[in-house]
Amino acid sequence: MKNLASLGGRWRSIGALLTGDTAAPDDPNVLLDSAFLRRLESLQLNAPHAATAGLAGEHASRRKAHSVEFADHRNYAPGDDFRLIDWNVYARLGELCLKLTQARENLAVHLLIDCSASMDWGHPNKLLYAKRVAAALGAVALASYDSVHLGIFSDDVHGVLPPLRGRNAVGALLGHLRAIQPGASTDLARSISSYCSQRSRRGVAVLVSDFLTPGGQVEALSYLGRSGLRTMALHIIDAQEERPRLNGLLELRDCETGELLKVGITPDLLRRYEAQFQSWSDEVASTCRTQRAQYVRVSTVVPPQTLILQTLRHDGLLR
Amino acid sequence: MSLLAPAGLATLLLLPVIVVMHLWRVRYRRHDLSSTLLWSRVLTETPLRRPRRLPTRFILLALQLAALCCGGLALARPAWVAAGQHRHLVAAVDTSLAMSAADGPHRRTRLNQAVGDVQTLIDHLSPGDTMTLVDLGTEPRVLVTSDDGAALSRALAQLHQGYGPSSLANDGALLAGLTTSGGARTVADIFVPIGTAGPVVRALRVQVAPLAVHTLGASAADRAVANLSVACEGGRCEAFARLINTAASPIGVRVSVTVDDGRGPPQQGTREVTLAAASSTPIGLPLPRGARTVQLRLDGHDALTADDAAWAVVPTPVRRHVLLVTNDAASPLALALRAIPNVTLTTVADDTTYNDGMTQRVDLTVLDNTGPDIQPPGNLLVVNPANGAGLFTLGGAVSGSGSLTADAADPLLAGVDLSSLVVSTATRVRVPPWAHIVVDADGVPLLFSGVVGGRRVAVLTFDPRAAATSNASNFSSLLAFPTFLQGAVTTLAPAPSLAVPTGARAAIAVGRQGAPWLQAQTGRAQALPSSGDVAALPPLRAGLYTYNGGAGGVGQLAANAMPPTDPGAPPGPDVASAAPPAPTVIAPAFLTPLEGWAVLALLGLFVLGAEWWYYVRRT
Repeated sequence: MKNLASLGGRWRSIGALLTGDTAAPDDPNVLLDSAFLRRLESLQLNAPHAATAGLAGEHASRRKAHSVEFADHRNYAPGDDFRLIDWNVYARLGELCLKLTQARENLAVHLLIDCSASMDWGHPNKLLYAKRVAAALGAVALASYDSVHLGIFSDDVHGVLPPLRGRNAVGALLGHLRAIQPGASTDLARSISSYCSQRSRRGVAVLVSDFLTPGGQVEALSYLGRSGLRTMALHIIDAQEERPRLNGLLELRDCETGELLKVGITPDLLRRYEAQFQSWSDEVASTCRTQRAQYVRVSTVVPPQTLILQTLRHDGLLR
Repeated sequence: MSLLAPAGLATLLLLPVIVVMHLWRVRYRRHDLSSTLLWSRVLTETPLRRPRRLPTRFILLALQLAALCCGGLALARPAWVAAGQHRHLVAAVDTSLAMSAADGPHRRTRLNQAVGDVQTLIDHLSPGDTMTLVDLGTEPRVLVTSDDGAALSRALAQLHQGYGPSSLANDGALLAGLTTSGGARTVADIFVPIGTAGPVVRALRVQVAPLAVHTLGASAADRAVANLSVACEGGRCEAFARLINTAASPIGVRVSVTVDDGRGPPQQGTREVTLAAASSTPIGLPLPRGARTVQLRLDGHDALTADDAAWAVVPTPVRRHVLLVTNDAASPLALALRAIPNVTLTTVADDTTYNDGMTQRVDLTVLDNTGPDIQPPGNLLVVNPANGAGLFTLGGAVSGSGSLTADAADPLLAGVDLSSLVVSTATRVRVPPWAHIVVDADGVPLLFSGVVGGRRVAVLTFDPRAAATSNASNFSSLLAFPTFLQGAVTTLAPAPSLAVPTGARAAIAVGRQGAPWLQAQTGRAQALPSSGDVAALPPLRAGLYTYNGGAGGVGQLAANAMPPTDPGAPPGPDVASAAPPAPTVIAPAFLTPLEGWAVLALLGLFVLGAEWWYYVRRT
């Protein structure tokens, strides 16, 4: 793998141009900083069984194809291409064997970002956090010459951008991410089915969402699996959602649906809520595992750098 | 526990106001969430129950209510005392003449009985109890406030019999102030003689509560001699008096008359008189020539003997010494003054230097067209003043030809007809505050008078002579002129008093020479405090006194008691129906144990601080 640093000043100039070296971490316009971007050069998506996109890349393909990288030998069979016979083996052993080579193909990475109103909440903002995580994963993919597909959805797919490829596309990726605006309510099943119907290529799907929707997780993950996409679900959680610090008489307003709920907060009620949240979170994780999707629960308290450089590497999603 | 200022509890009326304000302000606070999905599930599984922990607002409400309760209780001044103890008693004893009646057991006077009763109250004071002793004599006064029995007994021993009229009708405000400032557990006990007017007692009960009235004496029946006076006309004198009987049945009394001419033994006589029930009978007694004093006495005894006799001094002509300061010894002023009977006139020029011997021998100084830099002491009649010499301020001349307005009721104008008076000009004078205008011409004062510093002063702002060079008038040519001067001499230099009431402080006019003194018929002479023109008399018992009155020499003075009950006296105001006056708040220096307002106030401030801290912390 070539080192992105070999691009020299051009790579740094992209990072500086798009993120700034000294930008504040809470600045919504800052998705990546230069130092973090340089550290992403050494990472690669770990998708050993993911289908490749067929174009030249850095991921080993399941198919054997013409290449200089030796893979294996096999006995000649009628109909094989004579040009693939390894004559050196025939000279030594007197048997006709074909020389097989390993193809290197690129990976289609689908970044699916939930931009519903529920994501536009919390401190730090969950949507901003999702943008930063997606930017980092996208940068890793682009550094590996993978194609990056960006899907933005809430109650439906709001935009399907043309695939980005190559390291020069980092700027475009960040621009697209920065332009994301919070949407309305969440309809996960409808959005994912709509996306999958538009994108037939296989690859890796990274689903970034808070999964705060009454249902549709099973259907959505099922759609992704049937589309041949290896799915990674990043469950974004705010600390206040996990352990709310509330008291008194409250009129809770759902910022996504506008629904109002009057409650008198008591310690017992808080304990019941926390138990309910844990149960619901486990339910989402279980659904992901059932649908053969990798599940990672991400708290916005954890910095994106820590998530990318430590957590995802530890979970084997990156290498 | 008792509340010394229960009105402070009115502050607690704000409690419901605060509660209402909180109820009005209590509402659900809006809180935005990313999703209510999980909350809905929780509430579906667990029905919403009433919060066990009080919301923030209720804690604030409780703290505010607690702070207000502390403040209200502090304003009510709670005092922690044991039940039945630590009372405050106001013991008021009437020491007027009626209390001198000796109709008690063993012929004890009513005052002695009252003193004994008060001493009993003092002896039964519990530890911590306080008492205020009040003398309700002619001049009421608070003797002491203390919780010390010995101090109270010493003060009680200072309670002396008075011989003046009772002031009970005017003491309601004093007693009300004492009971109000004494706190809720204050009880007033007053000791009054029998026969005290019912309306007076009812008015006191209205103003002073709680009030215990202790009536002393066996009977209100009394016989007395009142209003003894002597009138002389044409050399013959006659004594007049009223004989009073307050009993419910008629009585026959013998009246003894003693007349003293100062030369031989007193002449005595008697007269039998029948007095109707509850009546006032006038009596007249012709006096022999040369009589100087007369005494009327009702023979026999009754409980109140102080008003059974009366004395009177036969008035004699008074010779007055008048000093005339003038440059015109033959002026009409000098002639008219010299013509006034019983007036000794001394005339001096206006450049004469006054000396003490000259001024101390005169009763009136007349300044005629002069204005000495130093005014002579004593009574003054100023005619056409040249300067005010500190008594008043002069301006220029002003026309005095306007229409005259005269105060006919003024004694200076008694019998004076000024309808023919013509004044060309007069001296403009700014009338001082101590004087009042007697005669003016269209606002220009022509005659004003008043009393300043105990001296009587009258000022005539024009010259009575028609030939005067300035401020001339025709006053000297009128018949009113000598009449005015005679009235001025008798008004500005009045004759000494011949009678005073008993038991009350009084003043008599005296001359400035010598030291005035007073001597009873049996007793030693006592010096009288004097300002030079007026001497103060101490409260006197009934009797005949000899005094040295200065210029008039030695004179006699009669002091007669006023009967407590006088059927012939005009009815007084209806004190029962009159609105009680505002009580005079007098703070007695008695001890109120364990007042808790300071602790409550501090506690209230602490709670208020906690409320502020909690509010800041929560918001």
